Amino acid sequence: MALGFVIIIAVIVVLFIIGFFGYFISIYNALVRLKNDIKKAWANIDVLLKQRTDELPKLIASVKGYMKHEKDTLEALTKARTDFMNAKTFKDKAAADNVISGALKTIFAVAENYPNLKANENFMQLQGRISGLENELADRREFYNDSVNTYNIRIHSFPDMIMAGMLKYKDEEMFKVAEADKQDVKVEF
Amino acid sequence: MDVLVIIGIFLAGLGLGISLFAKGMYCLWKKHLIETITTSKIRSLAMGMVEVCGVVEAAKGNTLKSPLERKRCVYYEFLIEGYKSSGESQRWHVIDRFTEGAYFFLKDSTGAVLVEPSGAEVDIKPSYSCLSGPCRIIPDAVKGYMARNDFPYKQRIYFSGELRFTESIIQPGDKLYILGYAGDNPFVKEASAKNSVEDIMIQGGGLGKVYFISDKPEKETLDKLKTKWMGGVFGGSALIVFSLLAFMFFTNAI
Repeated sequence: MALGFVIIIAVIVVLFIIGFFGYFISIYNALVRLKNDIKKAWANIDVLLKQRTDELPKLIASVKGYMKHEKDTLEALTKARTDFMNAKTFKDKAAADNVISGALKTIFAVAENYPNLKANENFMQLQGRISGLENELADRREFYNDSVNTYNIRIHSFPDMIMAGMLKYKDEEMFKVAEADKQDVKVEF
Repeated sequence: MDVLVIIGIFLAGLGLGISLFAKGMYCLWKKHLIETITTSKIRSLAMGMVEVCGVVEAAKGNTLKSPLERKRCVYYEFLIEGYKSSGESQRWHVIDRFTEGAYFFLKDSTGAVLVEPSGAEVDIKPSYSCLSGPCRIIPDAVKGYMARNDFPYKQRIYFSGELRFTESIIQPGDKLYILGYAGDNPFVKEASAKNSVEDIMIQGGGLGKVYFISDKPEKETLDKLKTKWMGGVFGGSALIVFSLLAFMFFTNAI
């Protein structure tokens, strides 16, 4: 009789251990996946940023003949491109990206004042390509921020916070848009 | 009771308990997977495991006709079940199951992506269901199906037990949630796509080969998985312990 009870209790304990460890392994895998998904989301942004950066010299070359009065904007764009190419950290790249996005917004808005430029097929093609990349970038930034948000919430929720504490996982930073980019571009006619 | 019968019942209970427990753990893993993958906008899909939501759009000339209602669709599941009663237990059991899918596009506000539904675990509401048997009038949909196909259960419909026919379809315009693998689109030549999503096709074969298509929102799917994993793990554990207790009781080990 005693042996029977011992076996039953042993089975209950084994099932509990399997269930408990299974649950925590699942949490561990989920957190590791989330962390890697954030890295992947950033890498996917980086690919598009690189593609956009590669288009900038062509854009500058096609507009500089027309936009003589926008020298400052074009110089800011060139500088931001150099800053982006030299940037090593997430923060530096994000900052350079914000400057480039702002400068591009200004260039495309100001281009409305230059009918000859608007008639230039090369410029129109570049504008279409860069605008497409900008749209994709906006989606991927949103995706990145959603991934970071999910991760940040999970590492502070119970019981995931126990595993996150053991793994020493800390909050990740979101991709912030520069204050200047939230303002409308002023176009003077 | 015969020892062999006791051992048989014990092994069956134990096997069912272990399989329920394992299924529960799989549902837990799947729930965590769905929870951790963020929904992507279709325009900016990247290769790898993805989660997308959108509306179905048929690929040009690539639609199917559902077997019973003859509706235009991109995927159907056709189920034939028989009514089985042995002693006090009575239940429907699956006699035959057919599925067929065609390539389709999933579209959201940003773009459209090609989907290859074969191999996916599809969770959609039935769109048509009917009963047929010796004491019932055979529905027109079933008559039509029997006339078009070599139906092996004709005898059964006219002379023996009841059959239940269920059809579930995905039609153009339906809203879907898809968790799958975004891979290369074999129909687009390398470097010829106007935008990156054109060169992507959602298919099976991602993380743990999870490929899931549902007409329900993500939250509803997660709630269902939560019930399944808890039911599986706790129900399976209880069944294992109960089988063991019963075995010991009948063999007087307790």
